[in-house]
Amino acid sequence: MSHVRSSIRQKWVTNTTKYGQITDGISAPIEAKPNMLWLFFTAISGGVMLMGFGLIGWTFYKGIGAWGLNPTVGWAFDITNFVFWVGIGHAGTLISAVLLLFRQEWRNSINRASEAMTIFAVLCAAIFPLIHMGRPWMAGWFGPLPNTRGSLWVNFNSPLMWDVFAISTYLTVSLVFWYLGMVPDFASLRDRFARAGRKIASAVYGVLSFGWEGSSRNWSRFEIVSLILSGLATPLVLSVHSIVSMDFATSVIPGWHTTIFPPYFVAGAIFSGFGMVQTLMIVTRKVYKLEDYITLDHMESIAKIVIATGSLVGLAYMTEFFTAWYSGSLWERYAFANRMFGPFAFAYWIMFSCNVITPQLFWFKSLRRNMVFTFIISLFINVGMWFERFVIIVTSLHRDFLPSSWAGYYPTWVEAGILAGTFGLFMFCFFLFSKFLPVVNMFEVKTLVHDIEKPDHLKEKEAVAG
Amino acid sequence: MNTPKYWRGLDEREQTPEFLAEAKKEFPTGISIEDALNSATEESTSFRSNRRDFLKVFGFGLTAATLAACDAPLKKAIPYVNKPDSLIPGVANYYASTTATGVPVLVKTREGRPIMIEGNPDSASCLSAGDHASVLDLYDIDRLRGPRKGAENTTWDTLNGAVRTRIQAAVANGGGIRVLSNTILSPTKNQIITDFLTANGGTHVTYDPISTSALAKAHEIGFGSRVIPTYHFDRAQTIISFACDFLGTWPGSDEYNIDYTVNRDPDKPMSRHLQFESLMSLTGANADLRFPLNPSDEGVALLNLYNKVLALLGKPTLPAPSFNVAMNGLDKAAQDLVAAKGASLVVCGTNDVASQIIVAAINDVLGNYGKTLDIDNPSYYRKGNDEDLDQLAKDLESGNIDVLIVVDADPVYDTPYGDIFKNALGNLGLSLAMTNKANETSNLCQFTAVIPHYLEAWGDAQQSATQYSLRQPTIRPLFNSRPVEECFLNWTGDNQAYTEYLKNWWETNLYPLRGAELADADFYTFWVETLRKGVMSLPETEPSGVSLSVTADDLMTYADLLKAKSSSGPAEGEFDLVFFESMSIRDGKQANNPWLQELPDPIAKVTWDQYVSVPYSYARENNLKNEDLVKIEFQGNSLYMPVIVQAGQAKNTLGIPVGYGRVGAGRVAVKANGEKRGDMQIAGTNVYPFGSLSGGGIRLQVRKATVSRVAGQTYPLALTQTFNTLYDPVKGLSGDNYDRTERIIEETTYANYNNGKYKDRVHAREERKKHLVTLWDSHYEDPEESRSIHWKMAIDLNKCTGCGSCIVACQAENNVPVVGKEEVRKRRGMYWMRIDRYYSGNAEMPDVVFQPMMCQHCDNAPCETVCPVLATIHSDEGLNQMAYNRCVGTRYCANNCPYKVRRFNWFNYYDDEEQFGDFYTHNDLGRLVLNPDVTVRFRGVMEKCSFCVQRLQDAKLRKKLNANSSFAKIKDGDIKTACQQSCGTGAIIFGDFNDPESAVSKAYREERSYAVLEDIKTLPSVQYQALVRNRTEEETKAWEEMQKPENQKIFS
Repeated sequence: MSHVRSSIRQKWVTNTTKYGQITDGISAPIEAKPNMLWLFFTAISGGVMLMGFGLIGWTFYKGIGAWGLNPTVGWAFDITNFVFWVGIGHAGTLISAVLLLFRQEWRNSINRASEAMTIFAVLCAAIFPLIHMGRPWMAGWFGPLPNTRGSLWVNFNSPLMWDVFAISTYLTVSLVFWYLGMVPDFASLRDRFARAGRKIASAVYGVLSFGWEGSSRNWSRFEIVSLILSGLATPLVLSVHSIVSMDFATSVIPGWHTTIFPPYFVAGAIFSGFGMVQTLMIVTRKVYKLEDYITLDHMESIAKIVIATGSLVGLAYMTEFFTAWYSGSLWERYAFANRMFGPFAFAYWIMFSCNVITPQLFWFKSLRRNMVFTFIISLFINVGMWFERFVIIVTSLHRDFLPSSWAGYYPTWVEAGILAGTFGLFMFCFFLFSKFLPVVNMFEVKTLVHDIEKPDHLKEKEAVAG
Repeated sequence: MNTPKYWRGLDEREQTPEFLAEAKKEFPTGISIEDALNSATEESTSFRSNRRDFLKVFGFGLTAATLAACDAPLKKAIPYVNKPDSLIPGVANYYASTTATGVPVLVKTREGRPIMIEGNPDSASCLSAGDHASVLDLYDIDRLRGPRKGAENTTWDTLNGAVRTRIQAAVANGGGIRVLSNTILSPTKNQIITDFLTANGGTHVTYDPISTSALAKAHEIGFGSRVIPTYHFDRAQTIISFACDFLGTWPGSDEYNIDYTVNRDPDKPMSRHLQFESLMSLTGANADLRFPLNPSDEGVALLNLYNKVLALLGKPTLPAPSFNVAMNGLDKAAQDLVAAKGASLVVCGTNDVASQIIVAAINDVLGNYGKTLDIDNPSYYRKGNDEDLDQLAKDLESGNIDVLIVVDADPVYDTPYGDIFKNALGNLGLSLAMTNKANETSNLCQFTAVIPHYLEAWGDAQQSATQYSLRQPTIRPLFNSRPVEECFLNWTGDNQAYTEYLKNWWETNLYPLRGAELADADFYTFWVETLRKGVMSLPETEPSGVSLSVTADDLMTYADLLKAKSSSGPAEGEFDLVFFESMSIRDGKQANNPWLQELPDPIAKVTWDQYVSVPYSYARENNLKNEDLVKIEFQGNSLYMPVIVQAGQAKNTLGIPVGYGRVGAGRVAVKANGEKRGDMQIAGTNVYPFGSLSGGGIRLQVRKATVSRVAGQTYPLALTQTFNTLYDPVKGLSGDNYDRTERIIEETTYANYNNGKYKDRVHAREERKKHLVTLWDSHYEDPEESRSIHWKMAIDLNKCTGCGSCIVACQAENNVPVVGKEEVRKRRGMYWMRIDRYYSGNAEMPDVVFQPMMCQHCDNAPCETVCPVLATIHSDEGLNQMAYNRCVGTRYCANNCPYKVRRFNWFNYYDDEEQFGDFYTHNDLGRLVLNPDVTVRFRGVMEKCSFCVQRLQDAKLRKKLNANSSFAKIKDGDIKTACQQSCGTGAIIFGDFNDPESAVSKAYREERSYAVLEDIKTLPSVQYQALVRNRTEEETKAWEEMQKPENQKIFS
């Protein structure tokens, strides 16, 4: 296997002259014994995850009253977390599908990890629609219920119903796409373990690789399926968060009842997703020494997307305000004034400064290439985007039409613990992923390598022939 | 030929009464087991069981043991083996009765248990929240189970024996016997007590915790008879009230609510009501013009009003320092009074003889006696005499009393003489409390005679000179209790049953007075008919025309008294501290009733706690906020109370509700006892001891109190409404003040209503409505689509006084759970209906409006479209229905409800033992109050007002059954929702909108009719009729000017 890559194309992989170098480098952590650092962090995130599940159990036992909600503010942390995590997921799909269709080859280095991030984020997100229900054991009623009077249908008018379809489709497609992309790498791992005589590991990866042979037919099919799946996944990037936004947009609540929500939410989702990609990648490339495959150029590209989507989000914020003012609607005007100056103004200003102001610093090239700085900004973005959902949900609800029913909202430690628990779950999954699966797509990165040296056995052949 | 007659024994041959009685029974009485086993003892005689019982018990025991061996949980649903004739399972029976406080009611019973108290349509009185809640008192787990000696259980024989012995001893010693009670409305009970005292010597002292003794005394001085007049608010065109809460807590408010609203219809000549008061009362909130008036200034204000009225009439006035309230309110009052001479009314709630004399003088000079107030047909609701109580306390102190029998009263708690009673009760020859619940007094008495709850007993009452009512039991006594009457009869030595006594008394005294419709009836018919109706009205006596006989000199003396009081009013930084009755807990008797503890006071909106209301101006100057802890000091006492900042409260006044700090009343009352923090007792303090006898009555008032903030400390209060105004402190960049008033409350003044300005607004509203669009099918508006029934409700804001009894009625009807202070504080109160209270305008002199708010049953319901599982759907009769079983609890419907009327079961309120275990649904006794027609909701389920769908179904079925046709149309009167039936003023109208003749469709055609938040186009099935305040054009302008929204920050 060898290829020629024009020297005028951008170098996305540095210091690499051999394919084997890539395979060795990326497989090394999988083949090595887990080190103490990994064990430590996995244990911590696993512990936080278990605490989260414990608190979910407590909620099931006691009732939703364990949270700080009230009849006026019927959703708060639960749906905030849901939208937040769904949003995080979007970057993965965008990278794997949309950038593939647009032939953005730099995605090859980061698509694996960001797709994994998508899966884990959607898993975290999927928890909340389930546990926010008063009677989660009745979740089956979201599907048609067969009974003697014919099936009992659900309400297709309800955006919550649309959510069910959107999220489940999204999870399925993302999972298949992610898994499929790993099949050639599983085969490499299978072969490497077989060569090293580690039979169990070899067998496991063998099963996972679906008998991949690396034949041209395999590759041909693989490419076609990837393209089809990316075609399927691309609309999902737009549809999932559009539908999530309709949970709010179809209501009558001022601050929710807004037509701008679908594009606004999609932009926000991609923004937050890339923020999370930055956070994860900066750590991963450092810890696993992947700087040659995930280069500063990659990080800079991500930062550019962040600045684009961040500006879109800022534009959406301002459009909302303008519309509220321009509509002349008392309720709309009030809702937005209340966001800025009401009791939850702090959340609004956190959101605004984290999402609109800080990403603008990425206009400076030096900052885009400064990983410490980028890491800090990415954390800001994560915080800001969580608060965006909190602002939309809580500040709109807590003071809507009748002042008699205006109420406050104070989260309980149960809710805060569940939020922490999902971060635990997310990180726990990501740590497992980084240990047992190749964090960078080996075979796709190989296509990016310039100046490939001929393998030794070919050199020998040539020498013999020469 | 003669057949021989056989007889079985000598008894049969003699036909003895015992034999005849025995022969009527299907089964003869057997030998009791105890006799058979020779183990009968004295104590066990009352529980004798016979052989047949033994077999039953044995058989049941065997069956029970067998069943218990099975795995399935044993559900206690026991069918009738023989159905009682009067009872169809599943169908409610109604019985007319009379509450303990003497209000004629209907009692709804299901399968032999009373579950709801409703107003008696044959008597004009609307029930208070406490009356509705009294059914829960019946099933109070803390009720006493039987007679007690000290804290020990005892038997009636022991108790009666001891009482007789001690009374005989007292009679022999010539010692004093006293019977102490609150007002007793029952003529027979009074008679029996009088007979007892005649036989044994002694006196009957009557007092009321909240007394109107001075009012009666003023009439004794002025008219020669110690009575409280009946007030005819329906005959008054001008009502001037000085600190008199005649719509809320004043005796007779049950009836005055109805009378008052008769003239509040703006399409008829509308009455005018001016209120001068210190604290914001329910009555003040309803007034056309309300003027804050410090209690210290009240006397001089009364004198000035007197002078102004007499000056207008050209009569000599009294010397008095000139005084007026804001906006020259006293002049307005005087002018209105004189203009409506003979159809005006001045009332005063202050328990002070001098004030009441001046008020009587004003009414007298206006010729109101015999017209708007009637002393010839007096009201009997309060007969207490504070001076008698004072004398009793003195006698107790000096040891002149030997026997004290306390009949259903709690002097240790609710009089200023609590300590005297406390010390004396143990040392008397006999102290006996007659009560059905332990209280502070009974806990200290040597004996407690347990009396039945009113729903378990026979009785009667006389509310006024013209109305009697009967009480009949609706359930067998749950515990080992005996009626007061029976005890006294027994102690007098008269062994007839009280029921017989009652019948005889009615036969002797009232049967001859029966009305024309029963003229030919024999007593039995009269009795049965009166019992069925519950009330008996007598014609009014013609006014005797007695006028006030107070000499000018005397009047001058009273005026001087008033002036003296006013001149010693509070200095800067000092406060008049007023102890008042809140609308929910009232005098504290029902403190163990969780329905009332959780019922928010209509003004303060506080539940479960005592508080101090602080005037807005003081709070703003001193940066006090709700829940801040303050220390109130007076006469060496300190009280620690959380603050409620009250708009419209007079400067230099503080208000603290009575009725808290009950220590002996039970597990629920204790929950409202505040908190002990270090040395501080925060809230939960009994304030009755701070009252004192002055000016002929016990005044629950303290002068010269000071208030100081306890630095840095707060005490959490559970408010059901924290935001009080329709404006908002959040100012937008565009400078909007976000005035929501028109979208939520429509109000206008009588002047604008009549001069066409209001019509303009109605037109503007109609215009605005034309531009509303909707995405939804408009089939609900389509006349083509005619449904059989379209349920709708109309609420007249002009008739709603905000009293809150509908809330408790709804709670009783719909099994709405009690959630406790912590949950209310989290705003999780479960009420299906609430009464929103808004202030508008100037915070010193605000206008108040009450708006009952429940599910609006929108025809374009936002909740219905968003429910993913179709748990909330629209019925073809226009109801927005909840299918609890289908609800998964996403709460999306509640979020999307613009009216925020949906309630979520955050916890298992009805059986989460560890958190809510003290409430009634957690014990078998308390659960008896649940309405079997309404599901008890599980946690995680959304609930809300159903328009009492169970009542609708019942009424429809009944109608069809009675008409023997499936097509029988529902008419007005066939159905009343729970809130509607509780609303004596008729503010709530409910019915079929498709029937053009129904009251509700007529109400919708009125121009005052509007829907809340019309611009969302939810098409609610509840519409409100605009509030009209009776203000002149000039006043309208003046008040608008004054009320221009100013800094409202204090409300946030």
